[in-house]
Amino acid sequence: MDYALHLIAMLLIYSSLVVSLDLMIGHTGILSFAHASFYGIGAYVTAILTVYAGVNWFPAMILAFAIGGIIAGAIAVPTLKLGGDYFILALFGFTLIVTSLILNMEWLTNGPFGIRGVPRPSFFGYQVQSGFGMLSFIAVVVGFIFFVHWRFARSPMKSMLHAIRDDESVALSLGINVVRTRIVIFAMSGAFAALSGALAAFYFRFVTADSYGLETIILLWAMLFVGGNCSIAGCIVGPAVLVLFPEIFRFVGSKNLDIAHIQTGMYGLLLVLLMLFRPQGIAGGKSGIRT
Amino acid sequence: MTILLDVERISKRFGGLQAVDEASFTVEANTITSLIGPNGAGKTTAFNIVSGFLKADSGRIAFRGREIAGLEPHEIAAMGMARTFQDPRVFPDMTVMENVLVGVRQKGEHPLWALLRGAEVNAQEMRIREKAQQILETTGLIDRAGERAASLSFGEQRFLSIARTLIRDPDIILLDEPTVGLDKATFGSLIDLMARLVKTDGKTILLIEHNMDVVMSISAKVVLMVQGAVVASGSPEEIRSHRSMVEAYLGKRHVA
Repeated sequence: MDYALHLIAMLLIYSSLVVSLDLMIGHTGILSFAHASFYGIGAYVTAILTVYAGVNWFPAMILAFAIGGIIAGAIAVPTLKLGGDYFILALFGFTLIVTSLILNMEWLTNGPFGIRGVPRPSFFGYQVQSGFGMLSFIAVVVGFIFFVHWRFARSPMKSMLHAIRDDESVALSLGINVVRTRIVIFAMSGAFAALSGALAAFYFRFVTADSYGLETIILLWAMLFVGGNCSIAGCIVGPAVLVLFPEIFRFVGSKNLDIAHIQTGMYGLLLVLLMLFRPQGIAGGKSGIRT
Repeated sequence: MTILLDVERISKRFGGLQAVDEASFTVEANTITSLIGPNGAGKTTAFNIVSGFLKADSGRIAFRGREIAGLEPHEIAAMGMARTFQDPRVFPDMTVMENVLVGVRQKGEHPLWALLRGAEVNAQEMRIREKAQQILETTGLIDRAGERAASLSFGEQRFLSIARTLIRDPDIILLDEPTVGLDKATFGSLIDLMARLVKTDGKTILLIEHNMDVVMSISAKVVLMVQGAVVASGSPEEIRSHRSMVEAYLGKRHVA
């Protein structure tokens, strides 16, 4: 039972990350490789503020959101001027810098040992203790993140973003401030990723640099494209498949066939098959980008 | 007559090619002005400079009395200038209606308004939707409103690309070879639409056009460009009197 709760919590946190990644990649066409860094920044800001500075969980979470947004905005201004391929490389570089800073700024981040003992949120003096309590807390915050993105996808903003994504020149000719909009979306997406990071910090009560590097980015991209971009359902289905998929290998297999060893290969196979037979993802939107 | 657009000695060089060479022309409000000339004369480059997509090396452009050289395309668009491209470039996965709706900027596009959705935002969206309905009627696309734009014929996509600019109620519309590739019937309704936009709606049109019959019949003024320079401009009659020049540059078949 506890294990099932854990899987659901993971699924919710990943879904919230994928939905903000979808705003950037699926809707606006900004191919961001920096999402895991904003996730990490949110987690570290939360851990540092609550563990070292004794800040209450709620202001810590708000600050994580704000700092994630500010850093994302600051990164967006110079890098979004770059053309496609160079932009992707620049954000790759950014991810490496963030990981390296976390590992080396020991006075702030405790280096490779990470920060332990992030306190659980408390309400009116009662600290959330049980697994179910934590899950409810996560569900509420993730529900909020989903609500925001659901509203976006049902507003005129969606068409404007798709116009920018599909034909930048036409978008400009229609009076859309393409540069400013991209920066705003990048900053917002970064802020929401940082909020997911705050959730992860509260949930695991422990932050460490390896959770927010290149592997996580690849996982998030895989979740988005397996589930399908430009689709709220896709942002749940993708993480569900990739979180639950490894669980199959935990139970299947025998002494003679240790299937867990070929798990990574199975991921690869899943991706290849999807791209061949359903490139828009399992639950991809009609207006999504084609891979 | 008021001069809506005043282009003064603009130049643009691409490497070894002088694409636009000290070109000057004016566009009077509530008329159709046609830019003609052989391929490579710099007509589209001039369009791109006027609409802000290219920066001129030198020269001045005044739109509604304000200097616009150096402004970004979206800023110029917001001042009341619209343009189309040589291809329709509609958004294929959006519906016809959505293509028109995305042509105008509105409150609900800002993240905070999109999230909160006040009555004001909804009211604006409703007004825009009604107007889009009207525009689809005048451009003959109303029956296709709910279909994907990709399912439209080439000619219909051309109309949609114009409808998309009209929702913003621009003062001037720059049309880059709108009649190319149209069949006879569609061709006729496009000419009608342009005439109606000027006469009924008070719009101003700057047109790049190769069909001399069209140019001579609907333009108040014709500007002939050759190798980046304006070599003649005036009423269709005046341009006709330059017969030898037009013939030399555009070929005999173009002279009506």
